[in-house]
Amino acid sequence: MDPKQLQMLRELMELEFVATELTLYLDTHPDEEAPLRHYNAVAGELTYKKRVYEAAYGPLFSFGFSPSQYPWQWIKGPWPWEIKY
Amino acid sequence: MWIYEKKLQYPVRVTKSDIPMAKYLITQYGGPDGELSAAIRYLSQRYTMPTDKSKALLTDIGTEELAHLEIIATMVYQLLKDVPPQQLRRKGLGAQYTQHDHALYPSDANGVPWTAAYIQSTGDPVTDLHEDMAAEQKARTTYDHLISLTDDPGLIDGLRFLREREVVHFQRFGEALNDVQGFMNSKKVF
Amino acid sequence: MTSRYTSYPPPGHKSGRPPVGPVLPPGLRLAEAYVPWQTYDQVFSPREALEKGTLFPELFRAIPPRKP
Repeated sequence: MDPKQLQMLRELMELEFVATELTLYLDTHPDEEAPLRHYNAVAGELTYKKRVYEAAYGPLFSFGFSPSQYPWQWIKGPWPWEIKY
Repeated sequence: MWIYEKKLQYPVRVTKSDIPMAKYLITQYGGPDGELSAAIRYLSQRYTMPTDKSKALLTDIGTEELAHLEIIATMVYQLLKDVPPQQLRRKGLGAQYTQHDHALYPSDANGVPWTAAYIQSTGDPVTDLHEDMAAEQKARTTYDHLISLTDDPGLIDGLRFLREREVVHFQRFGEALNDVQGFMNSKKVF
Repeated sequence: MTSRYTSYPPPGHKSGRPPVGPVLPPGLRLAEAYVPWQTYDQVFSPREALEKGTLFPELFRAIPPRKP
């Protein structure tokens, strides 16, 4: 996989991990404002960066969550377990 | 409804050198204290949790455990990839190859297939959350053992990530227990 | 010959006499486990968070030294 794609993927992993941690924290602390603001900021940044990634490298989601060019790009490899990170 | 993202939660780095580790790692795929047990346990218990917080948390941690299942699968897949049968046999994976070739199959480190006997879902939310906290400790201990067994720095890196997730999950389940106990106590009629 | 051990006395307990006043912090009950609530304070950078496996420094637990 080309280094630029790997780097973008890594960035998405990092941001999404922050969002995951905040999700779990907010599940048990739903009334706290600061972590919720943090979560929304990360969610916004993620949405943007995922679209940039997908425009270059194809859909990250199927089932209607991402668009695809022709032909159906979702099936294209490499699949996550095949990548040498 | 579940959605799959075509991206690992954590980047897995494996060299092909520590092949016997595949036999031990598989316990976190299909063993008693592994990620499949965790996912099915939490996703089953969530239906009868009494509070919004506990329903959400069981759903979200259960979902994250499926992502961890994928990480373990990737480690095993990459360890075994292109390794010829005779070499698998020399490294103690002959039985595995006989029954499963290079495929992923949910079993423990001795080949015992996964069973729902590894989980409980009692319907008592206090009981279920205690089971969940114990499960996170058992998983964390198993990762301690796996880390001690290998010298591959890439594998250790991924295992340390998974281990730390168990610590965080324990904290969250503890908070959910506080919440649920508070709720159950406030419901008492004298 | 049997050996006896003294179990760790609860706070405020003088030998031979029951404790005076409440020994539990407020809100806690016997036979109920309780985990301290985390508060949102310091966070790691996204890069360090992913590497360590948590966003929160106070939840990070370094791995124990390797057994020989």
